[in-house]
Amino acid sequence: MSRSDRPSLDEQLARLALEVTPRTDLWPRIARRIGTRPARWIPLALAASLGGISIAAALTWMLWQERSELRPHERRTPDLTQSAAGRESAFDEPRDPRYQRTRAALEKTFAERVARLDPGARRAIAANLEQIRAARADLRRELAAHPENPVLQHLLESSWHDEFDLYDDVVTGTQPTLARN
Amino acid sequence: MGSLQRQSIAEPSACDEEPVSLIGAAVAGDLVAFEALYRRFAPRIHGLCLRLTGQRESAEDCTQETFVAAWRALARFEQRSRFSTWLQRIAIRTVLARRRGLRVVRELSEPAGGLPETADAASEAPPLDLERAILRLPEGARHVLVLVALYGYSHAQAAEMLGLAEGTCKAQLHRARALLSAALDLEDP
Repeated sequence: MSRSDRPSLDEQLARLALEVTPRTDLWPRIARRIGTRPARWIPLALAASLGGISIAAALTWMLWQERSELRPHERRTPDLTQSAAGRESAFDEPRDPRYQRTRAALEKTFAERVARLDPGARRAIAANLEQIRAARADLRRELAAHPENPVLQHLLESSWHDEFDLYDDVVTGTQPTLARN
Repeated sequence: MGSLQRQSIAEPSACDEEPVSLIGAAVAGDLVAFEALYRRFAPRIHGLCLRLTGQRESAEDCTQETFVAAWRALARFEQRSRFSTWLQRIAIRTVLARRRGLRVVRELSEPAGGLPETADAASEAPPLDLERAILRLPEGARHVLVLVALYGYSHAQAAEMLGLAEGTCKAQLHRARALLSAALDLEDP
């Protein structure tokens, strides 16, 4: 076909579809971000883990799995005097070595990626992380007084999801790849 | 300069009716209604984000951010503009803010070099080579092309959103068209 027989640039541009469906359903994450889980919510972390989408999702899945396996009397007692550095041994986080290894790898990648960002972005991320951790500290205090309260337990678990989502957002948002197939 | 003008979100077709009842319910806090709005508009918003960012992951993040921001700002939506237009503006702001804030590392190649051979132009399917050529445009040229040539914004609107002079916007569109024509081995635009 000669140059002059080909559709013009305008014709080719006009044929492009303006609508491109995301590869994954973004609604569960949106719903969680805006404060309510959607009616047909399936555990996002489980779904993402099955799809091999992210390390953060795998972490949340492990967390979720361990929490559902623990019977109430097996749950570790929170240490309210624990520092941020010692939070890994908190009752609400698994001691499973796979989990600890995966988390350490994610935190390492997160730290490397954050270091590349400009100071304003770093401050915003640090503020978000601090907010999540402060909320978790409050929840732990409340749980110490009401250890069987399911709402508090659920919120505490959600705080871990939020932290992993933040890591995931930074790591995926700074991927150095141009991924259009 | 090219004469291309597409039907845009800002200038909807007759069949693209405003989902007034869903919008009203969502403004009143109905999350189910908002989910319905998401289902309806997500492909359009994601398509815009994808072409502006050139990255699937970033596009999905920006789409997500757009709907979260829209939910939080719904009370301020006064229905003077169409909902889709309002959403689209949020999406553009989100993409640009992300570009400024996170400074995502990009792998933008030189304009024409290294592009594949031309697509089968007789195909009825969307020309994949054009998609790839658009993604490989320099960012400034790509943004203007996407907003003006694909989504139907005027130069004045695009320039205002991108923080450019209108003349710069026109020059960027001309540049984008020339680069695309060269990449696709087409006659000069």
